[in-house]
Amino acid sequence: MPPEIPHRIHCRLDELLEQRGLSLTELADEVGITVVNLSVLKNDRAKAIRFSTLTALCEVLDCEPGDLITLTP
Amino acid sequence: MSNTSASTRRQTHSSRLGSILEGIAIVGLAAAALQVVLILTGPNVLGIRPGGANIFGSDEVMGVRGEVDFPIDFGDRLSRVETEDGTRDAATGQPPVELGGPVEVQLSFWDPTESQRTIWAIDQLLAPLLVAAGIWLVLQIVRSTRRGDPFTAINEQRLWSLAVLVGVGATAYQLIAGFLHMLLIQRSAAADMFATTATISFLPLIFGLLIALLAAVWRIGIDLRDDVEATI
Repeated sequence: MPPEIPHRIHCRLDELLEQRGLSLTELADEVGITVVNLSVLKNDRAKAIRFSTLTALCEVLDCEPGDLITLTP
Repeated sequence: MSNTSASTRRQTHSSRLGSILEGIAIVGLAAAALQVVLILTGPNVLGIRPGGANIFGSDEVMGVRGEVDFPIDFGDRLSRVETEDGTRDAATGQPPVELGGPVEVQLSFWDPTESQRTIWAIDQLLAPLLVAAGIWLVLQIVRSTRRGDPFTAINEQRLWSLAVLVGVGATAYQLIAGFLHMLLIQRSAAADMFATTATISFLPLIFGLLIALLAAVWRIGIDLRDDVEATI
């Protein structure tokens, strides 16, 4: 396998949760994924995100995918 | 629902297979350990127990096998007769056949010296120790598979070790065993009667390479598993 290239994707879950007054546990309950997995996503430790997860997160947070994940310089 | 039951069935099947493999590995390990104990306690090493027949053969008299360096006369066991149909085997009437070398015989030492005993012990202990080390590695891999997480870096390391053990270890064993046999034979009264040849099989090397290939594929499995685990 080719060597892994470090990514520059940042997940803005913290900011979106704060704006909407939601906790990570509440979001996990509504989206239907574990707090551990959401924590991995929030701390930019995820290697990939499924379209289904992205769809569920955007629906609950009422945002676009671009609001959730951004490319850092 | 059907996916869950299929997954449960697969897990049960995998667990059963793991139990069987673990059982076989434990029996193999016990057999190798027993062989080591029998060699060490036998009359030709420590002499704690009298020699005799056991499941690995007889160790009453210390001996090694080697190819003899002179023609063997098989007498008239395969004598031929001329018939109307041509040359035929005298006893069966079938087309004639011939026996030939190389012929391997057992060289027994009735009163071995200390150095002969030492060389013999090393020669006898090498194979079971090598087998035990290989089985131990396999057992650890099987156990981790039963725990449900086979794609780990330690298992990849175990596979590389197994590849080296089989490929390099078993090939080296053949060379060392051949050398030790030669030492025993050349220092015996029958030294002139044996051929100074050794046969090396490349099978261990091929098996070692196959296991190394498996270890490389295992690495890819570990990377893929890491990717899946980090996918949200």
